Amino acid sequence: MWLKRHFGARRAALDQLGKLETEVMERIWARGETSVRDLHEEFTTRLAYTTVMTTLDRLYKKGLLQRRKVGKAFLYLAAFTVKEYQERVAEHLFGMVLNEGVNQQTVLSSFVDVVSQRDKEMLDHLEQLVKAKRRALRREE
Amino acid sequence: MFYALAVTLCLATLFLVFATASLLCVPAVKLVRSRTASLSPALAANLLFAVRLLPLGLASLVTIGFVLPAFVAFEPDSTSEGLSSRLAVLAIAGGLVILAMAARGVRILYATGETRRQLESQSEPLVFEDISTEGISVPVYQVKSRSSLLAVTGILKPQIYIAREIVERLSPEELSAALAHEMAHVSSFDNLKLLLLRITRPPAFLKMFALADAAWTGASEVAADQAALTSGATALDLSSALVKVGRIKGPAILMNAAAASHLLPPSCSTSLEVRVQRLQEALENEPSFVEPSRKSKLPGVLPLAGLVILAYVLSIQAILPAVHEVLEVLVR
Repeated sequence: MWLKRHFGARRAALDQLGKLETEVMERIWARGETSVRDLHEEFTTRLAYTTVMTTLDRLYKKGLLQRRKVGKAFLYLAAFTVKEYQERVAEHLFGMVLNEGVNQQTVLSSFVDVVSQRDKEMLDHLEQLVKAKRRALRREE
Repeated sequence: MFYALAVTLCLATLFLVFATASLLCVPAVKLVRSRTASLSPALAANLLFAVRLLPLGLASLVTIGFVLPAFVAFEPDSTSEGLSSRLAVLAIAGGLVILAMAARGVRILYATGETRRQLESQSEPLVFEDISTEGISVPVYQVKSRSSLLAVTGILKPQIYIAREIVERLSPEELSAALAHEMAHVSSFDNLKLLLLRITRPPAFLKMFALADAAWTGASEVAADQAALTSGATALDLSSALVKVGRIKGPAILMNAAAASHLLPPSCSTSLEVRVQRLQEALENEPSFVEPSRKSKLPGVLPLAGLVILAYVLSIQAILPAVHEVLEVLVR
């Protein structure tokens, strides 16, 4: 059981998350340990209680969440920190790039595309900083 | 038989030590990677490089420094010892490792040479006096093509290539800051290090080493930025050059040539994020910002190397008999 949980967690952490699952993970990283009821309050206008409960259960089964029973309810906690999760995803991506064989080029191309988008955002940010600095220098003159 | 046994033993030992050290180095690589943010960029890059090359260095040291001398000193010329199948398998594995590394080295150097020839055919000198750093003279060429190329290529004779579009778009100050970044790569021998990292690339299942290589690329870029700033370039000019070069669309010509360091390497998100963060700090502090001078080399490397050599010379005679005993076990 322990082995299944341990290795299941390692494996599942690398599976792709859906949009809702990602959102739930982000909330749990921000909140820490939480119950279904407390988390549902954040989604109350757009999600049913059972949807939140099912999503949490799915994330638990994927090994991304840990849970413990308190009374009749479960309290959920992230199994990894954000940094650990990102490292595992990065390792997984590198593994795909290095091991895919026939599809190596395809995997590499899509990875580069994702990275390029991030680069663009970084360059936008740097450009704003440069412009702000130039404005400040002009004012000083 | 004497020479055949010597070569077989050396290859087998090389493989054994290299494989064992590679596996043992995984936690060390992980540790260094996790600490890079708290170290100076140059130190982080040097540590990552040292840990990555440690398995091969150790394997070479044990083979050349201990196994070979022990065999020559204690094995009789007319040895009749045969080759066990275990030893032969290990030796073949060792030979394959060396062959694979040699093949990679040749392929990378050929690709680099080809790229350089290709660039030379479409380039002209940009400045008529070479730029020099720490005694290394580096010619700068303008390439007549539309691309975002701004890179230094070559190992023994580095050359900087800049696409014409970049020369036209960057101001003289921005160009000078970008060149200072490239010269920092030259003075820290980053192309040679890159070549060694690629030659010694471990098998795919040791993913941590691939992550370490990516971390090294990032740290060396940040270190080159820092060196450019300490050499007199302003954060404003360097940042502006980075933005302008990043905005130019076009093929990254040197992407496949190993021995090349770009101002803005392809797939550089992680390093770019750290670079932007550092440049932001520098921009906020300019003009009063004075970058603290940090040692770019590993601290105390020379004294440490001296001590290791001294210990080796003093202890070699005492150690060799024991090494030979181990070799006998391996042969049997």
